[in-house]
Amino acid sequence: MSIGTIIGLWLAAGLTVIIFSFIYKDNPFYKLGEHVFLGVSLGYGWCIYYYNDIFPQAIQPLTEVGEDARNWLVLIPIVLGLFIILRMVPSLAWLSRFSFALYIGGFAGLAVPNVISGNFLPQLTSTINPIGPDWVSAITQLVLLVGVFCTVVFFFFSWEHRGVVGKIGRVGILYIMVAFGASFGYTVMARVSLLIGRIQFMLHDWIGSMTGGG
Amino acid sequence: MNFVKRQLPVVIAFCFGVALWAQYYIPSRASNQALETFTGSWAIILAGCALILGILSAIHHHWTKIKLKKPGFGYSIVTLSCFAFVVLIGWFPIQWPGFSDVTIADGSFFDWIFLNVFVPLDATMFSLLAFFIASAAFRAFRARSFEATALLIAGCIVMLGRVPLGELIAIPNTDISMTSIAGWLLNNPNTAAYRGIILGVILSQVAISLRILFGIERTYMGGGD
Amino acid sequence: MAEQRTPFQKLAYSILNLDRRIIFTLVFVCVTAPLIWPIGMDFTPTKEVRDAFDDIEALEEGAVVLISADYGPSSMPETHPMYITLLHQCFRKGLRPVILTLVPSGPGLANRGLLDVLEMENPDGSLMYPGLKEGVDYAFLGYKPGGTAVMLGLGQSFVTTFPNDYDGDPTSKMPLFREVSRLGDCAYIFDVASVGYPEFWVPYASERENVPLSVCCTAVSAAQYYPYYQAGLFRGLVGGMKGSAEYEKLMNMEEILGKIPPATNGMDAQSVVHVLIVLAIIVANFFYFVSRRWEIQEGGRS
Repeated sequence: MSIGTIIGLWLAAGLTVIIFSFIYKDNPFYKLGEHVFLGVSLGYGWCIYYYNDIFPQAIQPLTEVGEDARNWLVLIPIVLGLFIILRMVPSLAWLSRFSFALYIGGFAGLAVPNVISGNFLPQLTSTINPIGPDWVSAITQLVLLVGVFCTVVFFFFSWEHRGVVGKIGRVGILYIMVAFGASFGYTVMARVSLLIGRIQFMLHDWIGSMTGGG
Repeated sequence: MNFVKRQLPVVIAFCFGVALWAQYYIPSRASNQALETFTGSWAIILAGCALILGILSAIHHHWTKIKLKKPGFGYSIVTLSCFAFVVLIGWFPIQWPGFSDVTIADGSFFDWIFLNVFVPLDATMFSLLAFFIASAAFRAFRARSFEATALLIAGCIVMLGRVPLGELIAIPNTDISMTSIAGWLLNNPNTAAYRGIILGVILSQVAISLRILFGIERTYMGGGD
Repeated sequence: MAEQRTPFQKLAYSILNLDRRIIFTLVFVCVTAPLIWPIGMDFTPTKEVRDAFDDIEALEEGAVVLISADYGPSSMPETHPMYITLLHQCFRKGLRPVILTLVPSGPGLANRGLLDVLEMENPDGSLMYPGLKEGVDYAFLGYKPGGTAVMLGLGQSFVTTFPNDYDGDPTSKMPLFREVSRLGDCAYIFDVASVGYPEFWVPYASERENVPLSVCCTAVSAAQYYPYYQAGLFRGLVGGMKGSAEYEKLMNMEEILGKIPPATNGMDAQSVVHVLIVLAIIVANFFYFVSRRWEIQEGGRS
């Protein structure tokens, strides 16, 4: 194991313990770790955006030589991108409206046909299936159909939820509570998994490197 | 000037939106080329600039805090110092001793900082949630009503059913176990409820898109004149 | 009234007002103990995970699989094992993975994972996957912002959307992208995601270009993706660390790695903590209802 790897492991373990100290109570070490994280993530983002986006998409097309022709059309999004950054200057912030209008308007137009044909219609057609062939799949299909219908009725607020509509809405609430309960169960699983991951690092990687078992 | 500042962006949004909507139904070579240019180049550059704006805003916030010596400005010095350090090692092609590569490549100092500083800090921040969700489950989740009881029972079924232990909680000589019950619950009532929600979300997505195209929704323009 | 309480009542109220640091300690012990002393509980892969695995197994040699590694360190234990297992599956079957990421914290982990798999050695010291060439047998394209813009851009051209790969080499000169010029030429899409991108891969990529899609997601999002799986929009759904563990089992990762793989290793701890939390909820609710009954009775007497 190289010296760089050993130093890295101890640094990572130390930072892990600093953040875990928050469980006891908020303290200056935790705040320090928090702000180190913020600074490192800002710097990391800056470098990643430059080398993965700005340089290959904006700078390289203007500076390429050889058989690859320079693409001057890219000056348009570069200027619009600068308009976005000028949002930091209050007197020039209005320029960013053109950039956002182009981006948001463009994707609003793209969204309508794509989500309807690619998501809405398949979801709808997979709800309405023939009931059968056996009684187990028939009940399952009915549970699905009734559930989707009742949930949609619950979220339809143009009708007052009284009488029949109210009763259908109550069934919808029951389905929603079951779904949220399932989400809660899965959320607990997710959070515990993250803790398991850190403890695995501390035991297998950090302590393991000292005992030779890592 | 009022037209340029307030009406022209709405016109641009409408024209580009309708053009890209029409492209879906007219997939000619020219329209595909236009879509390729917009999505594969222009939109990606704009998204990157928006993210850079976010970074600059955060830097500005901390710089202001230091300038005005607001409470906790020492931590802001730490933040900006770390930012400057990471940009120095990641942006400029400097060969640091002990590292095989430069800038963001594998084996560089930047990559080492990512793996040994960024990863443990990010991962540990989120792992704290495990403690708080356990504490919240114990102290706050009460079956006060019929709906809350349904929520709790479904949560407990999924929690026990989606771990290996769930296969051991079973009715002997049958296929019925906590795992199979959790699976049925997820694939049927859970699917039904979330599908209802998804259908509603898609419809509202379409509604908001139409409002943007026709200039009714203008929040993206921000405030000011 | 407190001084007239029975011992059972005192126990009930002390449990209801338990210091949260005791709960934190219990959670920490329940996670750490099974990792030090494994129980070795077995489990059966679910249909959702088997569907994803079988789909990749059915692909022909040389098929291109687009892997979108949209996760970061904050969801690493749930998604990174799945990504590594998927890469092993692709290289073992002779498939050609094209890897990209749509989140800024993704490229570091995805690149590290790819290199770990490429550099893996057999027990005799030989490379596990020899002779693989970047740009021919696989490609790592790095990160691009924009989400849906990238998906739509890939539908038109890989080279326009990703002019360079992560190392800065031009994609226009790679043989792989002369064969597979756009998303529609890929055989499969696999999204390993911690954020909400799977539901955008469906309309803007999978359905639009008619390329099948499977998803590995964190457990937080798993429940809401079941409608997509039921509708066939996701061919497979690998949810959370349990899903990754099931995929590791299907892929026989213990034999490949020579040790218990990471997601499988965490399953015992997951089981124990879940039992703790369910018991905590049951106990807390029991004492809650009992204490409410006492309060109603005391209120009635006074």
